[in-house]
Amino acid sequence: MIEPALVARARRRDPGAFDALHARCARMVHAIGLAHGVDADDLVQDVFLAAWQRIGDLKDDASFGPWLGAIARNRARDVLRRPRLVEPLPEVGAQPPPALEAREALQHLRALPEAYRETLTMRLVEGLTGPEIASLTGLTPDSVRVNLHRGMALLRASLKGEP
Amino acid sequence: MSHDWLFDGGDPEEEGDRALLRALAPHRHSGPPPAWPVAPRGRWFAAVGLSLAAAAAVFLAVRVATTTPSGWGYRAIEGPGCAACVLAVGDTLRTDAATRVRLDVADVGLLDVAPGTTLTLAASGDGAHRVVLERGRVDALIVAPARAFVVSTPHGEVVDLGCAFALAVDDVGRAQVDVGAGTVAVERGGRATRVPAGARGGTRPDAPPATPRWQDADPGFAAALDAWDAGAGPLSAVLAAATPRDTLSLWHLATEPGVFERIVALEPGVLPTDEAAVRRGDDAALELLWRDLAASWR
Repeated sequence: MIEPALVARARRRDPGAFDALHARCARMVHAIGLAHGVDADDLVQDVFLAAWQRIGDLKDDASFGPWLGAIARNRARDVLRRPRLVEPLPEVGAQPPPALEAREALQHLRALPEAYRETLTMRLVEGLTGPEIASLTGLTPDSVRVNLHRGMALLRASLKGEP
Repeated sequence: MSHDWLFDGGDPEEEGDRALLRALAPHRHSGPPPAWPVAPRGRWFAAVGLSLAAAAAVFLAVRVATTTPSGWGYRAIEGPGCAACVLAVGDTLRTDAATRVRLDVADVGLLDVAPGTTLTLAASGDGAHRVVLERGRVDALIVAPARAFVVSTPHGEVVDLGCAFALAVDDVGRAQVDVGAGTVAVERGGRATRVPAGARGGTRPDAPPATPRWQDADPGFAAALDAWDAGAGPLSAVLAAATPRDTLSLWHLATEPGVFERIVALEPGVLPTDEAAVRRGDDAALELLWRDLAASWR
């Protein structure tokens, strides 16, 4: 759980507090973006700026993580609903695209049922542990453990080409 | 106990799993935080807040001159009418077709009374203020603690929870409340609905309050919801027409069969909730569900 005292400082729009919240929660938001197939780096920037603007709407400091996650999912869905006329071009000077193997692995991850997709992305891509995922998302540790193991079983089968 | 690398962290033992982690590693987040704005960006609700604050400042400046301990001051702001009058407890204010009146709600807010409105001051004092709106329309701006201001209508009460709202009562006593900021509760016979900013609620003759919906809800969904409320349409039509934002309305129906499942289908990110507790109307479970869903309505 994010420390309520940190969230209380963030309510006063303390940039240092928001930097700390970013350090704790950015990987969760990034994983949600990856799981939904949107530009995850853009989503992280967008969601944290939204949190900066709307921190006054947060009713319970202890729910900052789940609240942020809900904003991220809604933003990701909004992005997916927009008509896309052209594929986004890579920025000049941007890092080279991930190798084919990395893209394929992510595609298999995105093909999982939604209940497992985000949790497994947080673990396998972002390196968050089960207890960290539970703390950020508000899910119980048992739910996280189940999601990770069931999702991993499906992912392994998918990578092997099994139905 | 064997190490559960998947849950506890650390490296997997199987080479296939290690290869997967290596393949996914380039996708990991590594960016810096954004540049935090010096001041919040202007959004429409900030503009509303500023206009409300400005109105409140005007109200506070005027209140001292017009409100007496035994009544509320009011004056015509459109059309002919009184320039400086007092509405005593028990008195009824009727505006004609051309006159709009601004009524000072004791020391807690403003009420703009539209033409063709009939309103009675029922009580005022000790932090509790009540008017009876028989017909017509009022636009309220209240800066009091929750439940300090109540509007009684023929078929239910609109309870201010700290907000701005527009309330209209038609010729048969049906009320419709559109909330601009904050939240109101619409209550009758022990049943209460919760109407947040941007949403619409109301009362119905000889029936519980209408199920709240967004003011810009899809007309098909709104029609199905109206039919359900009237007992003239199936719940299945409401569920079929609902989109993720309509979980505001579905929350109010969460004790009905099939509704919780539809909520989860529309908002799969909703936190695990005790479905049985929601179905039996447990207050704590419903409150948790509200808080989770409310974060997705923004």
